[in-house]
Amino acid sequence: MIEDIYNKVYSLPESILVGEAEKKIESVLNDRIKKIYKAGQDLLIEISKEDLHQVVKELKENPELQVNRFQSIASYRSKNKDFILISLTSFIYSFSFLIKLKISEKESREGCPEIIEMLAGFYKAFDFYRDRSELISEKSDMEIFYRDQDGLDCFDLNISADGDTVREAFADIDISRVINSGYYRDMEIYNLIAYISRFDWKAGIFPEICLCSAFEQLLQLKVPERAVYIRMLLCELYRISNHIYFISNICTSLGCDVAYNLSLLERERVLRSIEFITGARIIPNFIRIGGVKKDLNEEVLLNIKRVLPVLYRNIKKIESMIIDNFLVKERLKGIGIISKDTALSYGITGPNLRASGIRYDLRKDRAFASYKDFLFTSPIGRKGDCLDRVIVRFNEIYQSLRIINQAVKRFPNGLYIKKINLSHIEFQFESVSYGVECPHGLFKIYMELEKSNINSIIVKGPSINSLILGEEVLKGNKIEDINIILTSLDISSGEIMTD
Amino acid sequence: MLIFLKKMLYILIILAVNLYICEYISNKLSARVELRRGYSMTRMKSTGFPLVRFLKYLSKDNKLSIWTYFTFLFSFLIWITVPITSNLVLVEMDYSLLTAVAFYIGLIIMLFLDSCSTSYNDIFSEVSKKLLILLSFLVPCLLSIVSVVFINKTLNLKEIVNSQHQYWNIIFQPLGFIILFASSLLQLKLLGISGKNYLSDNIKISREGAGLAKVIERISAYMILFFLIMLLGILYLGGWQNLYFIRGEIMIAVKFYFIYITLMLLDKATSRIDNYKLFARINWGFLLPLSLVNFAVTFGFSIVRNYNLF
Repeated sequence: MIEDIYNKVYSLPESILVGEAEKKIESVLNDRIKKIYKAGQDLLIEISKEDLHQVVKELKENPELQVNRFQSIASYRSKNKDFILISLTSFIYSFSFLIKLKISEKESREGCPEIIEMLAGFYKAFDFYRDRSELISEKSDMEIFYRDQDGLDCFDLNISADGDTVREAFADIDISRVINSGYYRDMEIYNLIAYISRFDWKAGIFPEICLCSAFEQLLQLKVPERAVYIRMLLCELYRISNHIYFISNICTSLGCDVAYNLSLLERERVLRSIEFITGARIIPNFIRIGGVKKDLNEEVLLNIKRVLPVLYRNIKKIESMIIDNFLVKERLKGIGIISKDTALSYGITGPNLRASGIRYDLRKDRAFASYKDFLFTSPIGRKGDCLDRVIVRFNEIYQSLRIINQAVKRFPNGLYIKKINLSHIEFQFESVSYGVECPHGLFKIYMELEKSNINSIIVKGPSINSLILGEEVLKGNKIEDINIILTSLDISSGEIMTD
Repeated sequence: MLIFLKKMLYILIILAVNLYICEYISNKLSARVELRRGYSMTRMKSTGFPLVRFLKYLSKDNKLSIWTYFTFLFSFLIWITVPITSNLVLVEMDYSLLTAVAFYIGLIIMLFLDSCSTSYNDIFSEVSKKLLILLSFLVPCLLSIVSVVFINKTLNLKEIVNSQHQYWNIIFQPLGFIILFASSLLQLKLLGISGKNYLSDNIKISREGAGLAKVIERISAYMILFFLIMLLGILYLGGWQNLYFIRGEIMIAVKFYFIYITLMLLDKATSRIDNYKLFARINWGFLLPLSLVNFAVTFGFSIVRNYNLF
């Protein structure tokens, strides 16, 4: 027990943990694995299709590994061959286990029904990826379209109801299907940075940071401290902006007109600060490999210093308008409850997971950027209902303000970018995976590079996991609560986009 | 007959003017709360807004159900026995309060039937839920009205006003006032004058710019609100009693708009109530017990006073 506590307080460096897991897997599944190596932050296991069942079974049931959390699944094309990438995680390790297997072109076109069928036996969340069109048409009693609310406009919801209680819910994301894989091929990295922000338009800096950090890890590049601070400052400002937007969405669902308008005013204040730094509001295009695009001047820091107390005061006021209001509290309390086990098995991350009472924050767990130098806490909820999810986000805003306050006070001097010439860089065949803690959860990018080209890129946001969990959470709730429950999961439309 | 027609004309003019002013105030408050200045169509201080909105509603063709016609009829019938000032009443009756409440309940039932009928006109949706919600705020409302009747020992609205020449009823019945006020606020939320209408959520007329049915529904919603505000004024706040040198007509107008603006502001400040669980919690858990306590206390005191038990 003492050892456990010691390990939690002084956690081992990630590379040691990855090495440890690598050795364990190699010893257990030596004959079934083609290749196993560290790809960026995560562990990549290459296997053949026939061995998938045995490998997944061993990973899940081995008590030393306990890989029992679903994260994502994606198919991609690299070097004229089709692959499938399954991402699974364990609560023991803070990194992901990526299983890569080669599939035929026909299977890729049909959506690999056999593989998904097999995986659904181990992880319930894979049911979402099955071909459910017949099931939906058979069971669905009504179809709901939330076209007027952001985040809920990217899927159709089919409901099977028992009176006014939801028996089963099916989310259909066919309307968000876009062809985007072709865009990346032969794209210059600078253009890719500008493009990648669109995956999370609520907090556009995070995909940029994720992409640039992945390259930095690949190049073993140390970013100057001033650049790290600027990135952190922007991260927290975008986090605040996203959470305030979430609150405004909740206010729309509840019909709190006054709080809704006040929260939008505050978001405007934050976006202006961001605009002052980056020159843009939604798609910043500000992060570069090795640093940032532009340096900050004293005027910007002074402006932020001036804005912080005003923001704190006004957000406190909005919080009291929402949380202290009997009508709102009663409306949010006890609906859309996510238990700890459900939250873990469906692989949700970020504030939604923390609202269920699990303290998992990449900023703390992986010591991302310079967060380890700052005093802040990751707020958690108790029950995991809609009210908890709102309260956790309010508390996260205060923690972000706290981080910004500390950062502004001790802003380091020095270079804002380490200039490197990317034109002559040529990679061998490399795979890299990198994740950051974005306001909705774990935002992840997986890339395969060869020479100076990007062969393939997979972007996986946390919203898809929230949506899959949403299907489960809606069961047993009233139809009139669906809107609020789905809004409280903070689904970002950009992250739902799939090929 | 001529006097009757003249009075009818006066009442209709007063109602129309009030409708216009209240719609204007509602729009202004909504605009201010939403941090905007108003619609660009009505830039001239937004005075043309109610007219523009009326025309906008009419611009779209929409099917009318039979209940909509009845709603329209009842929304004017309600003003037959309610005196607006001491002389301006269409029909003088001894039981004017009873008749007015009966028309009011009739109007509510018509709105309920209108809201429950779907576009197919033969299927009723969520009837039991809506009926329970309507009952839950009607019962406390009626109980508080009965309590006032116990105090004043009359069913005539004019006599109730006259009996308040020394003290207003709000002093004897503070709980009753709170109940009726809260009930009015909840009804305002249900009718959705400044927001989404819960009652007609399922049918087309709840959407903006959807034909004559929307106009009628809105007028009837305003009529219910006006009636409740008049009841609050007459039963608890002394009605058209003169205040020193200020005339009673001015006083009732001041009270009317004061209550109306307070209700609208409270409506804006609180969130939308479109959830049955919440309604049940507020009405059955708060309003009904409070009104029962108020009724029991008033009933007890009236018995003690009548039979001189002490």
